[in-house]
Amino acid sequence: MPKKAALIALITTLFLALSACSAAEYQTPVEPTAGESTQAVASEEPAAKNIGDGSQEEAPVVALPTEQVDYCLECHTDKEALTALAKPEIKAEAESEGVG
Amino acid sequence: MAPLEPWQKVLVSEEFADDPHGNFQCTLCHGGVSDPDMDTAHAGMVADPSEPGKGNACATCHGELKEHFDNSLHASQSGYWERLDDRSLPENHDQLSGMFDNHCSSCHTTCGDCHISQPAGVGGGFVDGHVVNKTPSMSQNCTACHGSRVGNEYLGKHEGIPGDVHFRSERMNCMSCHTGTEMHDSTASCEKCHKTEELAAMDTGNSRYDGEQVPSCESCHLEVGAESDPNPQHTLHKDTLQCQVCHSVQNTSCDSCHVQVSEKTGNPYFTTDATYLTFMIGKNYLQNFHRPYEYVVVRHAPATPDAYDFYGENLQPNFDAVPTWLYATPHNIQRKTPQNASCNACHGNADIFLTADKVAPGELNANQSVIVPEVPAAQ
Repeated sequence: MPKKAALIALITTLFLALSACSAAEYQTPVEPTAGESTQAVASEEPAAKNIGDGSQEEAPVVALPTEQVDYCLECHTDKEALTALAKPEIKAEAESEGVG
Repeated sequence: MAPLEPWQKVLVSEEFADDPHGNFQCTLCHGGVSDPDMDTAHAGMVADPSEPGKGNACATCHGELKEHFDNSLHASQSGYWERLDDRSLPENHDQLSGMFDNHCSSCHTTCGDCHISQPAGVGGGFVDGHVVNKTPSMSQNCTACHGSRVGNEYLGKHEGIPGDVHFRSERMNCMSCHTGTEMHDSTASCEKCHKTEELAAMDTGNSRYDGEQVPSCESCHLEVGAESDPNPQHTLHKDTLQCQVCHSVQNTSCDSCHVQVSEKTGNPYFTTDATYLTFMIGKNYLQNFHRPYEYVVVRHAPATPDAYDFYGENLQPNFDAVPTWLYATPHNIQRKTPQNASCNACHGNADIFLTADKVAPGELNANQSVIVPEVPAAQ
């Protein structure tokens, strides 16, 4: 009898387990909805992360140049700014004689 | 070379954005920080990140080139030290190192000195708005340093002496003969014949006249001395005369250079007594497999026993170990020259041979291996 009881218990467990799997399968149509919402967040995340925490996890490199200002280039391509900021060079008195 | 204004030296051109190097953040190579405040941005910034010990930026991507370049003559200046070593003793080296740092090391060359900026030793400044030029500018890079002899001779800047035929007729620039391989790796040509382990045991690449002639005239002029060569003089003299003996003309010699540091400004400076044009043929004191010639063109170098006396007395006790009339390769090649006009324009012409009477008495011992004891007889 214990064997019979064990067999019934096993069959019951398997039935319940398979029922659970089946339920999950039927729930998959729901996931896209959740997935869509996740996707929507993901599509917004990179921009938010780039500006915010600078996380490299999903940072699309292509977005960086338009977002970041390269202050070095901004100044070094500006002739007027460089002319205004450049310190005059103090030329050393030429003390050498003859051809070097 | 026209001097650049301070702003011109650091003005980045729009074209730099199209250069692959323009895709990187400036701070990647130069350090510092991208900040609108100039002082903040420049704190910790490295002007030439290709300078050894300053980040080694070029090696990040061009590691193999950089590895070889560190041992090249442009980077190591080992040719300078070869001369100093020959003429001195180890106990002189501390003082000579101080002299070298003050007067010689500014001729050291970095990647940026050839590919981005005018060499720092001649004032620096972008050649092409920071665009990284694969091929250096002849006037703003090569002859910016190699100007007083090579540049002036090649371009024909000495009155009455035409420029080099390769420039006049073919408009060849420095890189037409001196390739990137030669510039980046001074022993690259040795590896063609000598195995790596054999090469490692050899004393090569310390001076520009070590090892194979790179470049050699025969690299292009393949017909010279061959059976098909219509010029019998080539066959007759090929292994006896360096090409320049027949095909170069008057070139620059200098006398007596002394170096010191100014008491007034603290800056190092030099004085040379004289600079003049000569054409002299001497004995080939470097005669070897790669330079089998008996006669070569020689020029007077401004070496003098007391050149470095500012740094200590008698720093060149072996001064006579190296000639003061040196093997030369003038860059003013001509097809027709006064000495190749006829046999007797050279044979029997004592004026163009370095005989003892043309050598200063104090330099006779140093030049014994160069002095021509007997001028080749007239035909």
